[in-house]
Amino acid sequence: MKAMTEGRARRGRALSLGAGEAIRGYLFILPAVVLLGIFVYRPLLETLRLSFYEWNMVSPTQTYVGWSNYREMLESPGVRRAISNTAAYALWLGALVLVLPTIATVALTYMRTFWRRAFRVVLFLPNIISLATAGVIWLWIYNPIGGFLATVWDALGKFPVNWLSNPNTALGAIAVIVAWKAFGYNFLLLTAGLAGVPQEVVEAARVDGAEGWVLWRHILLPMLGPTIVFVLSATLVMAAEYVFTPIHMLTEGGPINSTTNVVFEIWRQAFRWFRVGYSSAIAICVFLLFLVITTVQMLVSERVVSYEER
Amino acid sequence: MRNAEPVQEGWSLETGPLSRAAWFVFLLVLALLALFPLWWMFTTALKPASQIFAGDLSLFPRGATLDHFRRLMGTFNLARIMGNTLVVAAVTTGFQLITSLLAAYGFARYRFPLREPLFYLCLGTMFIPIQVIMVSNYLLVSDWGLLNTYAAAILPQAASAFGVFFLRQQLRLFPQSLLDAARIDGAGELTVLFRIVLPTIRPFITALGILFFINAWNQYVWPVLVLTDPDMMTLPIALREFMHSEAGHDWGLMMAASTMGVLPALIAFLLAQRMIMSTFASTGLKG
Repeated sequence: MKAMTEGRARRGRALSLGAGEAIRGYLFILPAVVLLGIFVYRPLLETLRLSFYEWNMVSPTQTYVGWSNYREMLESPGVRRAISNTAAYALWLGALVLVLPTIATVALTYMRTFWRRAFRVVLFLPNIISLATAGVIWLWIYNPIGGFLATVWDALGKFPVNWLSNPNTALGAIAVIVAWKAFGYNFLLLTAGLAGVPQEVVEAARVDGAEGWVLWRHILLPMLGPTIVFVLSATLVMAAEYVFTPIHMLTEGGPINSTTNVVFEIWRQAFRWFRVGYSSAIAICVFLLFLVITTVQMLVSERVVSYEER
Repeated sequence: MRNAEPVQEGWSLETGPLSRAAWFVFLLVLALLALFPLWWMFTTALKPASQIFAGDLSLFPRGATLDHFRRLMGTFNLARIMGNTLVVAAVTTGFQLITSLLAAYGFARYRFPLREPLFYLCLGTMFIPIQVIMVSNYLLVSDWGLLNTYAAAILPQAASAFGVFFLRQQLRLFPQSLLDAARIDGAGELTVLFRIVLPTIRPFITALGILFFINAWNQYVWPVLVLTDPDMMTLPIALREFMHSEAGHDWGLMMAASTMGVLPALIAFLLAQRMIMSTFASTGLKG
């Protein structure tokens, strides 16, 4: 209603577009709105519907099963494993692309302009590489025969580890691939956030005698808080969504479910086991998880938008 | 928000030479970790096969060769795959730019019932993981008989909520008086948009276009579902195919293929590095 009254007022004083303004407005937004409707909201509702059915993707009949997919999910050890793995990914990525870039952001403030620019560009560089290519490059680095890490390990006299096919190391190996790519994006956001802290604030704090750790602990890091919260939510999204590509390419969730996560289970149940209903139930829960993360982040920090590769 | 400007440099702090050196070494180690995998990929792609498996960790290839790239052309129909990737990435970028520009203009400059709810519905699509909706979209595209077509890869990505959001920010700043003046002169709505508004926001369109292109060039999750015919695959999808083929342990070949996947994005990045980084940096900013 507010928009309508404002519209009338503006038409009164400025150039009149007549009743056609609304229609023109709708025509401009039509292509994007229709596309997003068909390819985002329609499938979301369809997924919700399918989550109450049992269906193998090819059979002409879909059987209504009520909440049974959701119930099965709660009891399934596979899903429980996927959830704990998702948490493990979040911890890995929290350390590698939240804590580490925050420390690097601190380090960057002590650099002269030339090095500051150089480090920012170099550290950002892997971000433009696709996760698929990153996966293949790292597969070669991890490769037990002739791979860089195995050769170094060998030279150190250690028993070579097949990182990606050992259930104890595979999840970390996948997390490192994602961290390699994602570090630069978070680092860029953090440095931009810190640059947004007004110089006067820094000067004033230093006049008051705040130096070194005190300056960071009590002035700068708190002011960087909203950015850190935003980067934290981006990191949680990575832990669920980004890892999908290397998992799909390299391990398909194995060995013995050690690398699967909640998002990968959506794919595996639908396209491996053809359990569309069950897959949809997991998808709906993932959607709710993302809704919670996004809502909390928006409430806590002021930033609203991120841009992610899919 | 002036996104096409360089990332803010910000202020710097002073510290003693020792602690500065320590911080420098820390950043240097991170930078080497960032660069090493790329360097390893390039050099493996250029090393003669005999050096690759010898447990040879030399950082520079001895007697660099383009042999792996030549074999790649023969073995994997590389030209076709690069062509597919280019078509899908370019057309996706084009569609995303046009639909984003139109919608952003509509949302920024027109008043109509339900404008705010519709805008937030658009924005909301950014927070829905593609994996949540991919099964249903796959079924739809399959019902339409589009599997293994460019259309299948492009259509579901033809609108970008991020693009709408990003351009709306720019278009809101455009002075209304200029638009009104053009309309008094009898210019149609589309003429106003393309002749008067577009030229002033060209830097933002360029930055957004590069971002879209790199993203579309790199995408994996959706095309891996709908492009399963080796003749239709884009490069990231073909990489997986190579990996699972008998050439999967031919690392010279694999790294040559990876290099082909990295190069276009890398060139785009190096050409427009400041623009890309400032656009990326702005993606986290509040609306």
